[in-house]
Amino acid sequence: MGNSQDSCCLSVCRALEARNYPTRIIANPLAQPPRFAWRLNNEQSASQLVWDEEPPLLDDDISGVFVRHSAWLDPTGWQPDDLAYMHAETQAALLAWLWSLPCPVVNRYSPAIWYRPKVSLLCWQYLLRRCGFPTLETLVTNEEYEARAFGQRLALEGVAAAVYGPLTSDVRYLITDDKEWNGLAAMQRCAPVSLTYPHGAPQFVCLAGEHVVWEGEPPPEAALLEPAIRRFAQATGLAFVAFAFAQTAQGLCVIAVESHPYFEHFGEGARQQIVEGLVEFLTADVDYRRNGAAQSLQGSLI
Amino acid sequence: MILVCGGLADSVTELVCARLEHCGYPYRLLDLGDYPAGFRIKWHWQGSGPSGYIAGPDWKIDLDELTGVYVRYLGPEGRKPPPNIEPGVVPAMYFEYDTGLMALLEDLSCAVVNRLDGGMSNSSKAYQALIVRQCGLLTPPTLVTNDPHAARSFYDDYNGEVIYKSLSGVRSIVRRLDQEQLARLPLLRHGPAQFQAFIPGDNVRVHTVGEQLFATRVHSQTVDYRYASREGGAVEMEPTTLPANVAESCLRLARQLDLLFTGIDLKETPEGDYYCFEVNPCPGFLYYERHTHQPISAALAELLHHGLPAPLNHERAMPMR
Repeated sequence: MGNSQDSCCLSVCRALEARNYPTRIIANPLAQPPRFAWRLNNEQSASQLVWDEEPPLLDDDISGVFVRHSAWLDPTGWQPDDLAYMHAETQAALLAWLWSLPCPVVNRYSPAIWYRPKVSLLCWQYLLRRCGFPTLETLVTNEEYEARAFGQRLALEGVAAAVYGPLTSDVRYLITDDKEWNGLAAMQRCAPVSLTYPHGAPQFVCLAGEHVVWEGEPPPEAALLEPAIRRFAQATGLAFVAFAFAQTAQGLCVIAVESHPYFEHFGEGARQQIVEGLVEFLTADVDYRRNGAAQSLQGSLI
Repeated sequence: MILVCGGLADSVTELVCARLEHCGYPYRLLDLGDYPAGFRIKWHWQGSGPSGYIAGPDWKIDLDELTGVYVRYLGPEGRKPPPNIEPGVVPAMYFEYDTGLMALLEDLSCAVVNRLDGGMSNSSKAYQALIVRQCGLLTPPTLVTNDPHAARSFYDDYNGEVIYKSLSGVRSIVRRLDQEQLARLPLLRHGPAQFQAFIPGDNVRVHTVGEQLFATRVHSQTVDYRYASREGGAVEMEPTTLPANVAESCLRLARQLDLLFTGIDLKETPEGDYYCFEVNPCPGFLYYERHTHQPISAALAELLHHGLPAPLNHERAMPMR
């Protein structure tokens, strides 16, 4: 489920087809042309997707779903309020339908992540700590003297600047001189600000199925971090998730969590490993059924 | 110390404050209608849960003093826009304020009614239906479709006894699928809708507060009793008792969704079966308490003041799951 131009989608498709798994990329299974019908009651959950002239695709015909985005609606011809309503309805239906399918789904997102795909790192703090990740000290305050005290403490530790960033965006600013601290204080009169330590260049790591894939040479702490990554994946139910780590004055810390990983953060070698991990995950059930129950399957829906 | 986050103009928040006052339980109101104006905050994450404080005009509480937090987020209509900010930027400011507060509440170790993550399930009624089934309650026969033929076939299967309503968190009035609506079925090709077999019987609203449960039977002739007065109908309510297995399923449902306080919509059929329609993570319980005098707000006050009982506090459910 994604965009036919998405490089990750295309790579996974090619890898699946190279192994004789038929695939189909669709932006939104609930938007025409396919006809979607899902019946649910206490005894059964049965859906079908029908493209004209094709046999219906039933639940058991779908051997895996790879989700790159949560559905796209063409805004053409919609009034803004109606579009927002239909978007909410589509999102709600898709989330539930993905949970109803018996096959592997990457990712079978929880409602919390489905509806907040780019949540602030601060909102992950509890889970990150519990899984054993090193997290970066962060202060949220609208008190000027508290912010200044944080900056002064950093200075005493030999850290030349604090980093300010809104909780709702990825933009970050270094706060170094008096002018910038005054500007921050002016901002604090409107909203609490979030301050943290500056960090070095990010290094990305991705969990794809069972594979932990580092972009570039893994850091010396990799052996300690990988169990945390697996715990996080298990706790969230994410089979495809990426993190960014960076060196800070407090050591190596996690600085970003991507529940919808950017393929572009990884080089060619890492991408191949990621695709390998995803394909293994998506087809594990098929291989099990082929070898075990010898059931026939028509393909993977991407 | 209890923290109440909400707007005083909101009658449910007002009732919670009044009940805490009546019980003599100390609380402070973080008025989200004004927040952050008039409040001073410091929330500090330093390798563990947040420490720091929230201070109002004449009070200051440390985060580690908190035994419970009650929160009802406000829409833009309940908030005072920050001064000297361009109107176009105001929604982004509200988003920023709420995100900080959500991050704090997700990470507090005290009872939080309710954390946002558990409540997100209410944005997909069909997702909740899957959880409902796991918890041992019945879910009405449901069709989600963008196919007019499938909708018509469902209508015929249930002899025309079919309702339709929104799938998402957008509030909608539950209506019967009638001839006028049948004529509009071709519009389904533009996007999905949810249809359900009409379940006859009495509505039963269940409020779970921690491990306590309050059930209210609602007598009404209208399809959606919440809008009975609009349709010239009347509503009568009375406290009721649930069968033990249904009560246990309701509590299980609340625990599964990591919600300390819920409003669960059930219907009991003439045959005595209980169907579950949805779980509201931020229930407007005032309506039910006023009609039945059940001590829902008192139970909530106890939960917020005394914190979680040991079994509930032992290990928080994983958020984001």
